[in-house]
Amino acid sequence: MGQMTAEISHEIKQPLAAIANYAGTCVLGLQKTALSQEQHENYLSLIVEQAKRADAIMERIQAFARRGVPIRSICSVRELVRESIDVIRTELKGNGVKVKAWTGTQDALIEVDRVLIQQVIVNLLMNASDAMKGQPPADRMVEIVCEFDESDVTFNVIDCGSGLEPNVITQVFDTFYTTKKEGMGIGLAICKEIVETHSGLLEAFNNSPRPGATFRFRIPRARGEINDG
Amino acid sequence: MTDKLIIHLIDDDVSVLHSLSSLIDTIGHECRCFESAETFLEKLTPDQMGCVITDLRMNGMDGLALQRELKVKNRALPMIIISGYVNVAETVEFMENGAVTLLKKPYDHSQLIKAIDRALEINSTDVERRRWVKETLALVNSLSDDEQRLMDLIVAGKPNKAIGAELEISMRTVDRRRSAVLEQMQVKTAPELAQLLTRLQFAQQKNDRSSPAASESA
Repeated sequence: MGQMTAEISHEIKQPLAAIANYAGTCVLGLQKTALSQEQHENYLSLIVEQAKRADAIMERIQAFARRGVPIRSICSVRELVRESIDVIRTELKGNGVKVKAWTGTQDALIEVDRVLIQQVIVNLLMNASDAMKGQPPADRMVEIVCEFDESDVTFNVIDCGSGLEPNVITQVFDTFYTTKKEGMGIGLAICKEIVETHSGLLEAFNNSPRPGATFRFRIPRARGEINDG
Repeated sequence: MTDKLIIHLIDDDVSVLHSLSSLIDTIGHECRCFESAETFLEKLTPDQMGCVITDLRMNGMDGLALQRELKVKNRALPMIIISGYVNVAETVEFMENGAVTLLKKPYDHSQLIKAIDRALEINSTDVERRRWVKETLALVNSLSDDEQRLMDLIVAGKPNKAIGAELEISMRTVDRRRSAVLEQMQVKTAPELAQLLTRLQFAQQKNDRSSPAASESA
């Protein structure tokens, strides 16, 4: 518990430190009339971004804390995907990664803990982004493709990175397995736990013939919803 | 390039690094950013002036390890350490190793400005002293062996007659050599010369304290 508190503390202090620096810059800028209007606007926008970053960290902590006991509500798949991308848009842009989301001609409803499923999608997107670090920037593209059938919605997060080593595929959801230091993600083991708590299934496989990997999870559709076919 | 005072910023969080450099730009100093202590060490030139502002906890080499490394490399760049959480033992270590100060984040920009001013002042004094030691030592080394021997005796307070006897030279030679030494060392009297050499000794000790091996090259 102490270890986790120290880590969380360290993480939250980063955006707070950035906010304090940018705000100090603006104060000085105004005192010395040293900055243009445009520069002030820029720094203030960066403050907003950092505030969102801090908030995202808190969401992740919340998700971790209540991963076994979801707070369910009816969510639109389309909205869920869009919100998830928003959470991590800045980080993806920073890595030069483009996102394409395809949620079909129809939307569907699922009864899930919105924050938890968002965290799963965010984590998969971050992993995809990391996997493509070795690619030339122009090729860094991650796709979210949603498939629907009568009973389920399947979320596919598809990257074009280096793919998963054969021995890794079986281990990738193990609790302490990681090939990198934990960044924005809650970890794949927790993603798996969250999906399973929602009566779903999380799996990973390499794409073929295209390069890269796909992480996919299936969630049952909300009961009583009218299917458009 | 090496005459400019450069503030070196080290932090592995890109947003914090960028926000700090924006602040320092606005304060009016020149700064350079590094995402790791390793990169900073790679790019550091032997006579770069300025100071270092580093985060304490980073992946790879952390702030404390960097401070130790700079000491070993005899690079006496004043260091300001920034941290979100620090324990007493660590604080004591880096203050004893000569850090300018520790800033807890998030900090007020006025605290940062004060710390930077102090760091740059320390660096200027330090650089100035090293330059003086180097120049003065050069003067001493430009004296011939005979002249150096004479200088030691003058500074020991020996009268000319005793000097002549000890070195087995005539009084005229003593006079001549004495004038040459005073002129070469750019002083007018023997007491001034003694003072100069004492200052030199103290300055060398100070240099040694702030970075052990540097005095060899001075």
